[in-house]
Amino acid sequence: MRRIGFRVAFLLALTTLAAFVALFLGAGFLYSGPGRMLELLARPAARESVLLSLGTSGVATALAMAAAIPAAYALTRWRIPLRGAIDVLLDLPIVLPPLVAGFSLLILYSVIERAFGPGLRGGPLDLRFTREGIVLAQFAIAAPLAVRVLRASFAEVPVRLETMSRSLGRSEASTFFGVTLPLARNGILAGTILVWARSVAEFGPILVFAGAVRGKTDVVPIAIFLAFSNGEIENGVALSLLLIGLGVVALAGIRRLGGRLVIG
Amino acid sequence: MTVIALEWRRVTLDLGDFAIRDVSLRLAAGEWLALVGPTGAGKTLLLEVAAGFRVPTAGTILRGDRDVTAAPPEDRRLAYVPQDDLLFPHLDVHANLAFAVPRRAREARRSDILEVAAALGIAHLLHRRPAAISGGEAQRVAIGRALLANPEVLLLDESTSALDGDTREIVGDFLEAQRTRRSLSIVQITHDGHEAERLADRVVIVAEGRIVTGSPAVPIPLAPAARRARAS
Repeated sequence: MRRIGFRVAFLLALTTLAAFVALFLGAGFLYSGPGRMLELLARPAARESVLLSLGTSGVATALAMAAAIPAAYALTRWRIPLRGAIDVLLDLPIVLPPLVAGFSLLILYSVIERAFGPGLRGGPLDLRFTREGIVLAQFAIAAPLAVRVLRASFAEVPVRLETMSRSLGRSEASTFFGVTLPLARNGILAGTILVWARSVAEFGPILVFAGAVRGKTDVVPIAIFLAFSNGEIENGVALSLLLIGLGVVALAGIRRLGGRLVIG
Repeated sequence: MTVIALEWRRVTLDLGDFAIRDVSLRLAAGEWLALVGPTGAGKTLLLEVAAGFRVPTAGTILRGDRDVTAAPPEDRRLAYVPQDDLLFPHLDVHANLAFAVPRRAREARRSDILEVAAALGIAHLLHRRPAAISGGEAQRVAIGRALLANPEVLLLDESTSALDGDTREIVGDFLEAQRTRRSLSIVQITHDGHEAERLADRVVIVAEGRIVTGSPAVPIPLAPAARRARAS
């Protein structure tokens, strides 16, 4: 009897939590009918926001993975001076409030201007309040997250197989491309999906660094913020549901690849 | 003068809970050396140190007269066939065999790959993944792959333990033929006394991280059975 009570209590906690999440995420579906939601999402402004989100998050994810794959491998396999400190440093953007990341990027530009003068302002490298700035803000969070996820993937590849490859005459680089990358493939793909989903959903750093300008920097999360700020609740709900849908697709992809979400 | 293919010179590897201590051992060019001893004696660690899988705490590994203690595994011209993690799981048997052959030489050495596969009785497995073959078949693939790397020294860690008696004999004879053809030097860890006596020029006993018997410098004369087998 005591055993049944124990299980009932735990299952009750699980059911309550699942119901709570389902209710607050699914509330949008009850707010307006699906037809109305689709109609709102088909409007040019919503379509442009979605395309901007897909474009910027795609570029940010590609850049993040290109930087994170070698960085994560080096951190996982090699004895590097200050490895512990570098590890903590790269984890910081993940655990800090996202607004702080955006604010820090702005401050970085101020510091550069103070050191080298205002020559940067308005030039091609001045990414403040631009669409390219959205990519930089997404990258600032995506790259450290990618390193965290990829470290777990590389750690699962047996070192002995890499050493075996080298004892058969393959170089370190050839071993990386011929053994490590293929064996870590599923983890890398799952990590790519996770990083992309996070980039699509990024809000804080974009708001601070790239701004919230309709028709220019309004990726989907910014568009949702602007919609709610202007009382356009249905627009905000429609875009929120779109992000929830993308999240479901991303998680399904990660599960299919057998990947695990290793963030902390 | 005996040409030395591989030498452990006063090698110590301290792993905390266990250590091999101050081991000195020489392998002559073309020699077949059997390492025997109880499980956990440190035999595998000796091979791993030689192959570059582990860095010794002290001492030197020499290939010929070259100090390779700190050299990466690919610069040692040694092929190591370990007890486990034998094959690359993402590659089929053919790709595992071809892995040891430089890409640019694969077409030219295609017949070598097929010849080795046929001699080891694994030609019918070429398109299978490692997960779909038995332990004994995987051991034969690993031995074939190691030979295709054209090593000067072959390190075998109980590499025929999963084979039945007849197959073990066939593989042993094939290795013996390769040794003669390529002037290959072989170090083999085995628990099979009959196999050691049949194939090895010299047997060294390892226990508790030390060489118990066997001269480090001078090869012990060939066992009578092996001498007879080689003469026939």
